[in-house]
Amino acid sequence: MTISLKVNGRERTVDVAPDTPLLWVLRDRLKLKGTKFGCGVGVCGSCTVHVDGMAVRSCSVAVSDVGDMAVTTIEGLAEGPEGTPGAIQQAWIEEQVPQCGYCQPGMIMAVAAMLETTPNPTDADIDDQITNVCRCGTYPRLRRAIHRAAKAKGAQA
Amino acid sequence: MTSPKSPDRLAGGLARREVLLGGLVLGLATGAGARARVAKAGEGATLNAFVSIAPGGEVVIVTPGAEMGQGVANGMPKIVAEELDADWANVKVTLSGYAPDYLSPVNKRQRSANSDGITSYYDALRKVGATARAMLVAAAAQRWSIEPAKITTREGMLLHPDGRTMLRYGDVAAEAAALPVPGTVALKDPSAFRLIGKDFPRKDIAAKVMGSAGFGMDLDLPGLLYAAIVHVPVAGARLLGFNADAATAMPGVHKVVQVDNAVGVIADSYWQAQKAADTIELDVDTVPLMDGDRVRETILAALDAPGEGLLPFPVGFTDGKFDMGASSEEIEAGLAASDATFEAVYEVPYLAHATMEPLCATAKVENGACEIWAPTQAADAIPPDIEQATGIPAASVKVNRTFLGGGFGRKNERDFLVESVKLAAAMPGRPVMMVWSRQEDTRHDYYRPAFAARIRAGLAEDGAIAAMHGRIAGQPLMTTAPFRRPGIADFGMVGELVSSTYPIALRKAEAVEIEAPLRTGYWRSVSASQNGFFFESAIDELAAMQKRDPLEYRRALSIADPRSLAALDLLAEKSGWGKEMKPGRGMGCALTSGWNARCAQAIEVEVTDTTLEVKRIVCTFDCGQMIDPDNVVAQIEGGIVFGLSAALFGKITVKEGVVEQSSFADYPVVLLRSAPAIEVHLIESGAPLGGVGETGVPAVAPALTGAIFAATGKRVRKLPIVDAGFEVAL
Ligand code: FES
Ligand code: FES
Repeated sequence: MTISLKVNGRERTVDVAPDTPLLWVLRDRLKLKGTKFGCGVGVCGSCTVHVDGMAVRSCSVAVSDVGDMAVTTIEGLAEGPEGTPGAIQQAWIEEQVPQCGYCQPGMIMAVAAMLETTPNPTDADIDDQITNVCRCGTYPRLRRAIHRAAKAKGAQA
Repeated sequence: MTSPKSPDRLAGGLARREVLLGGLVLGLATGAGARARVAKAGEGATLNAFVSIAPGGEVVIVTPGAEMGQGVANGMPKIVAEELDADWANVKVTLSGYAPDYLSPVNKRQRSANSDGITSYYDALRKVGATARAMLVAAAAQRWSIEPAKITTREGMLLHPDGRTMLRYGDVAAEAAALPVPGTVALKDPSAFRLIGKDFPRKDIAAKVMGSAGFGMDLDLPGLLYAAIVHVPVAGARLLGFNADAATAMPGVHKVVQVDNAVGVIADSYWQAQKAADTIELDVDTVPLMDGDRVRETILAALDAPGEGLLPFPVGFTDGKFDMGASSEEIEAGLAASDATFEAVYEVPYLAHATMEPLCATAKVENGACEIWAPTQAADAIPPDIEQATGIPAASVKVNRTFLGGGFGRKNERDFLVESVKLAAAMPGRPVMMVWSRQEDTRHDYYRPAFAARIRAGLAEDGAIAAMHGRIAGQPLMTTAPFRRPGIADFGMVGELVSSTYPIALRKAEAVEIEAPLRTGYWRSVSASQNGFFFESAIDELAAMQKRDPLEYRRALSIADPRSLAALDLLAEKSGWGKEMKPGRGMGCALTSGWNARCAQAIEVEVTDTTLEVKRIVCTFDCGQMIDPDNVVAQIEGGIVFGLSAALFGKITVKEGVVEQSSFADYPVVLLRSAPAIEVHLIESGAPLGGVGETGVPAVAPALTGAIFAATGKRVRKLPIVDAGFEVAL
């Protein structure tokens, strides 16, 4: 079935079974490899992308359900044509968050969505809203990086 | 395959291929422009297997280690760059595949395990850098017609003694590469280090936050096919046959292939392959079904009545010989003569690795040869394993490594690599990427085995440990089988059961091995993952028995080891040890000493009714000399979280032969909200290099159960803690 999608600001057309999870369309058809497969059952958050600005676990969304909603992946989060790191990514670099790095694109996408609705999150907000798994245990740095990113974004605004 | 005889031609070739195929380049901004720039750099002059330098001066250094988060794609090249006197900002790193040039001269292996990446390559990498530098100096000396000794180097520049003339490394790299390789080179005095021991941003991190770092599944090759796989679910059972009629008829499916005890589906896309694999019916032979409760009974019974199966284990290694410790008679006499005696039984369950990236590997088989691209901790062990499993000669197996989305020991196993080659063999000439589902990954692990141990100890009047006897029962590790010595217990099971952290006059360790059909293997910190809990819990109980403060007691036992004392003293200071606490709060501590490091931890908990909250973990850590201090902190933080997940929740159970867990939903790990504040304080002791990656893990469980004891008077001797009636918010 031919399905049209808006991904990172571009119209894309793919020919896939309608129940194909958005994750695999992004990764294997559109070759956007930044979005990761961690569990396939919605519990780890590695596959988090934005659909109309909301953080969504793309392994658990059928591509046919996306419709004309705008999809943003980690590749779409960088700023400008040069692809420089966005404010959140910059905070991640400054706090040296990643270890293996596998969870981090999903983590960053989840945080990016949170900061849109909760620009100055408290630790409790973070605990409530960021439920992605990081098996390497980067949590102490993650928390610092989230606060740093919130501050940096606040200063930009 | 590269020939071991041509080391000087190797790195550039490898670097170029990896850059073009996988985009496995670190320290890049993203985008094709940056990639092309580095690809060009890889075409520079190759000085040795690790170093090539572009005319523009960009230095490309290959890391021989597998980058699984521990930072060897930064730390190892940094050692080379230090002696090379390279401009670190102008260094690019590429990942290595397997090549004989990359074997560690210390252990003659190329694999990332046992926290020995830095310790087993440090001297060699220094020499690699110094050799390349000497060749650059020699080339400049020829140009300037002066003595090499008159030339100095700094950050990628060669400086003429006139104080004005200089050359960039890139200017003479081609000439340098053509010069003979010097036999001996002088190394820097460590006081002159500009890079080692100083923090710079890790070179892999930018790519990892931009989403451009290439992991096992991120490869794209022309004609790539995908495969999903289902294994026989029953532990120990064999696959007799299968029905794949539905699968074969599904869209995109090319082939259904039996691979030993599993069936793989090869399709145009991973999702098509997985959907088809889900429809396959497996016909499995009937076997006695493994049951977790029965295994536990067997382990506990073996502890009490080991019969013939009691295997001794050395308590030390001195003058090239095993020290087998005290005899049974000596131990019994020592215990009988003690002022007070202690005995307790501790238990831990099976554990899965649960790496964030499920197992995956890509292979292409063609004309009797194969090429593999995979997130693997192993390297040199892969070609012989492939030869044994498939008949493809080891010399015709080429291994490329991607970034690893976590390893923790699981990705040192080669089962998934063998599977991927066997699958690819069904589609000659086409690369096939096999991806395990999370459920397969959880259910077909090489688990950390369940163990029970009985620790007995006798105290002298002053509290010194006069005698200690540890006996452990459980499944030995399959991983260590090739290294086993006849008549001696498995080190992966017994190592540090009676720890060498403290002096103990009479020591004895032994094991009883049971059989069970689960696969077992290395799990971050290996034997210390259980024995740290067993032994340090016993120390805690010995302190309590004497009504002594657990930290003060460890201090008294450590009096002869300045590094332990320093770690404990700093821990007392930073944790506020001994401070007044409100009811329900408690602090526990532990000290471990593996990998030539000292790791002391204090954990503060609050228990309200049955709800347990871990408030804070303070760690003091001494691994001697450090390459990247901030990365040492990160590794210890990560090790602590890893140990905490296991101590609180970690448990793999087996019912009717099938592992019951299948994802993070039923094999929970710590999340942001359950991660306490963690403080790591590094100690610069001046000791030689020690290991880091695993060292943060073992102290967590005993410090945590010590804290629960301090808060409640209840001693948890069996992990995970949630099974002792505590609720922990996830
Ligand atoms: S892969 Fe989607 S939540 Fe884990
Ligand atoms: S950095 Fe490895 S899983 Fe988060």
